[in-house]
Amino acid sequence: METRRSGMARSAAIAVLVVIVVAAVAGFASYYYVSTAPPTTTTSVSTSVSTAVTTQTSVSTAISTQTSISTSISTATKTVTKNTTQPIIFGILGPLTDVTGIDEKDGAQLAVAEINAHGGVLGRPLELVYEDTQEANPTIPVDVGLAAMNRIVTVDHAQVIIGGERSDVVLAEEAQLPIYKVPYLDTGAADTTLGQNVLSNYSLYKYFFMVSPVNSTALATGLITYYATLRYTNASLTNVYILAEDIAVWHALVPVLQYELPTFGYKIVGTTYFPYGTSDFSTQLSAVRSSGAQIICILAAGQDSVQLIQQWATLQVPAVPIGIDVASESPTFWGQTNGDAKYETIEVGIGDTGTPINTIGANFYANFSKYYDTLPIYTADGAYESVYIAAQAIEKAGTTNGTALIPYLEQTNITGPDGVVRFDRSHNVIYNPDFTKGAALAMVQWTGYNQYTCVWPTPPATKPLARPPWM
Amino acid sequence: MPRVSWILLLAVVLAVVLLLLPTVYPNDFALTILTFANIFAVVAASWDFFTGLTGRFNFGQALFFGIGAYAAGFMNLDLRYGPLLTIPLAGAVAVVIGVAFGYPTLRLKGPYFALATLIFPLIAGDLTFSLSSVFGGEHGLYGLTSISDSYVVQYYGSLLMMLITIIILIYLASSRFGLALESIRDDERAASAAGMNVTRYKLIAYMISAFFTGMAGAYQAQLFKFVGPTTFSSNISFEVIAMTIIGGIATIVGPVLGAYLLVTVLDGLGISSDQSILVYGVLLMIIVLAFPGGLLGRLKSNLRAMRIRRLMGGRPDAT
Amino acid sequence: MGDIVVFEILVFGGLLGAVFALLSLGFSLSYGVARILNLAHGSFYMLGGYLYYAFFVLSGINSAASLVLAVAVMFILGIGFYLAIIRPVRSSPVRVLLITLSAAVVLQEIVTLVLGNRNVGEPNIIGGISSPLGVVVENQEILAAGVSLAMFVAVWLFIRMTKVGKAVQAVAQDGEAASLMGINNTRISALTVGLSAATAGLAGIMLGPLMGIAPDSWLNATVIAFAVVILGGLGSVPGTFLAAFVVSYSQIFVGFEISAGYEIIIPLAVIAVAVLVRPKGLLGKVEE
Repeated sequence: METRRSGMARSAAIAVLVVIVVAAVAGFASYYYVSTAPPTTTTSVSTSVSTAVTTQTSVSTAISTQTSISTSISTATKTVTKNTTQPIIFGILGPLTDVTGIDEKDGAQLAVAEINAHGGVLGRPLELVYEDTQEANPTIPVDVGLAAMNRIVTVDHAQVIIGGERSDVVLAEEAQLPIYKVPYLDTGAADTTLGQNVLSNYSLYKYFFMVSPVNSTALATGLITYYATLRYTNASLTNVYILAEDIAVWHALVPVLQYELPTFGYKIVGTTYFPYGTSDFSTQLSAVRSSGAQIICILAAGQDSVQLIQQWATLQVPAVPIGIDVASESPTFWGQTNGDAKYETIEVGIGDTGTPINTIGANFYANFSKYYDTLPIYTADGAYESVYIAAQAIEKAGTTNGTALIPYLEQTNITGPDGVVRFDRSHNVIYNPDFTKGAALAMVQWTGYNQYTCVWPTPPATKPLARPPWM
Repeated sequence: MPRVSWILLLAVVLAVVLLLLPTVYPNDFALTILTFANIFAVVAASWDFFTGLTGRFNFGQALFFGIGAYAAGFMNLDLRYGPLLTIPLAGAVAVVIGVAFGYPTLRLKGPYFALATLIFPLIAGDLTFSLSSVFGGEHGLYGLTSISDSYVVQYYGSLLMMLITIIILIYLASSRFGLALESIRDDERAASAAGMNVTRYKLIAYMISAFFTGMAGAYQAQLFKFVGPTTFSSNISFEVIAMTIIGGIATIVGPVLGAYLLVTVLDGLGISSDQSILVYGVLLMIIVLAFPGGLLGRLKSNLRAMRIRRLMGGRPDAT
Repeated sequence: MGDIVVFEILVFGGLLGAVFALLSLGFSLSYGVARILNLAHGSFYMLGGYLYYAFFVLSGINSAASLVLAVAVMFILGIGFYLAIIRPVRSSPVRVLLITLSAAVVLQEIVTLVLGNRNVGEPNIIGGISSPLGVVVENQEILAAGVSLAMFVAVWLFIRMTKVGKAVQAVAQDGEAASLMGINNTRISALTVGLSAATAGLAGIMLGPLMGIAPDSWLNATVIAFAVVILGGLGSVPGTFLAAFVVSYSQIFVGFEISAGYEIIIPLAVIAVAVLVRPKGLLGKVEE
């Protein structure tokens, strides 16, 4: 009697479970077929854009001449009289506990404060929200960044996303943008794939814009240009040893260097890839020494360069490191290497040399140092420019609708600390060695405690390349 | 008074609540969080099926997760298979490759096996990172197609996967097969002396664990439209261990509870990942020290009770 | 050119091996004496380096005092770690694995929250370079090897010669018999873990300036210690010494001859091979 009842209870439970699974399948199938019906809203978006454009003529004439950003925004707010105090929300999405993310936050805050002091955007104040992606830690999986992005849009209601630093995270975030339909202004990842996606599948990837730094192809061009100019000032440095992290972005760059540098009279005496995360460079530095190299072309995006530079200095390898070293762009690098970074020469955006190249840059530096007690790094410039770029696009479009903003973002033409920011068809910021025509690059060399000086281009460079005393 | 098994009751209640959720609370963010939770629940439950029942600690569950994710990525990009097809196929691939790793190591004693499982995903992660021409390096594989862009569809898809996994695993765990596995955990030498091919049983359990975890990896791949080397991250391995221990080891449903608890509370509150790992770790330590069975530890005996009742033809006094 | 490489492998492999030996010694002792596989062993390595950094760089205490202080703190930490975290779960090897792994992760996160997740850049204890056998080597590396060797021998002599050391041997051979003879097993085990924390911490202080100290350094250190001890035999001190050099030479050799890319795989491969081929290790005497 008890047996049959417990048996019946069991069967009942199993039956209920089966019903639930069937219901789940049915629910899933029905939603799936419903949600894949084609959208029917395209026409209404385009009509609202065209009406917005016709009412904004005074703003667009102000912006088409290259006047300073803050004045153009202030003239715009005087002519447009929208009367809502509901803030416009920009989201900062980055590794907020790492110096790169902190600078994204600080650079953006500075821009927001300036814009709000001039009346905000469309009469509404700008507001920032923040979500931490932890991407500076290379072992943290991508889903952390994607969850943060999800929060920043669905919970914090960000209408524009500014941020990004690590390529794989930003690539994954880029793929999610068509779901959120929010513009994403990248301030840290330089991967060329990000822009290629825009070209190959515009309707999906159009929300992505790379504001800073210039993409990795441009980084290579800048570096090669510097090497070319070195032939005139330091003709005795001829042997180059390429020492690169074993990651895809350098795999694309190294062959370009191997091809171009000899055309300027350099001799490539060796090329070695070391695994990302290497901590002991005794074997590589021995090889550099015995190859007779005078320049180490260092290519590093992670923290490995801390040990590499420390060992390079202690072993007194007679070669100058000249290359791209992301960890070295941070002012903490001097402390991390206990001063061994001296004489390392790295590529930075022209806005990060410590010497501003235009008035915007000068104000940016002055205010940044005043409020945050440190010099900015590339993500700060990028975030600062991104806020202005987004604000301006919203002004011109008259709306915060993400899809509607795209054409206005594409027309961006502003002057920032890194030079002039305009986008090409792949939504990458356009590189130009002349900072009055595009975003420019520079080379800086560590000279002292938290200090580096610009060695190229002139202006703003004041000092030539120095060699370590043991060379 | 019929003795309804607590496990089944809990499972049913959970399932009903989850199924009805989007109609009651159609919040996009909540649905996304729960989708993540479902994916982790599958991985944790599969981990529990192997480690909880056989007692062999697997410190690298992320191996199957990553294999499944990359397999789905390749099938989607190169073979143009849609995600609905790649998900189960990826599970199969995870089994095959998992066996290649597992077969030589399963006959090893506890700590040696545990160490081997710890390092396999590290090697796999390193390989996907350095063999960048094949695996995409730090970019991984991107541009994958997803089942749908709708939060609701993704939620139901993950929920379906989770429910099917749990049902199958509970069924297997409460069967004679599960009994055999537990006898290995309790005394491997005795089981082997009694004529059981211990390695074969462990291998089958390992394969089952690999299959479902591989599927979960493939599901995440289509959700993110992206696969990267961090899918092999030891964070994932550690998190599912924490979820299972906190929820209750060897209960299959415990890991689901642990996954839901930890993912919703930590991701939902927006606690940064560093701090959430800290919480996982501290909770895990507390549970290991104070509650050996986890929050649902009592249910372990229920699984056994279920099995004994079934095998003995439903005689309650057999428990 | 070929000659130089041979000397380089000889010198680098030897120097690194000495430090690996010190790092792994504690792990071997923990298993031999306290019967625990401490996955947080690498955390002791990491914490030693951070403590030295905190005392020397952040607090400005002089180098020698910082070193002694850091090692002393690690010793006490190790004892506390055993008593609070390992002892309650000692009966179940699986729970020990679990709890030490969790402790390692928790420690990593705490350090990250306090000092950030970047490599802090521990400064060299002694600077400059020398050229033994014509190979240019940092003096720090020579110091590391020398100190490690001296410490290893000191611990070895301690175990062999002193009364406490003989108690340690007794517990390692037969814990039950030892307690029957009046030896306090708990005290000896706590002492052993304290010793392993101190030696691992010292290895961290010595190797830190060369390899860098970051919150996730514990994983690599644990893997190396595990590789050495499994190869040399769980619980065998001479085996540990020998195996340390096998691992270091393999690593350096692969780095020079094959490719610097695969150095990291070496300890992992060593573990894999050793585990499959000879689970008892080269000189293994403690049965699992």
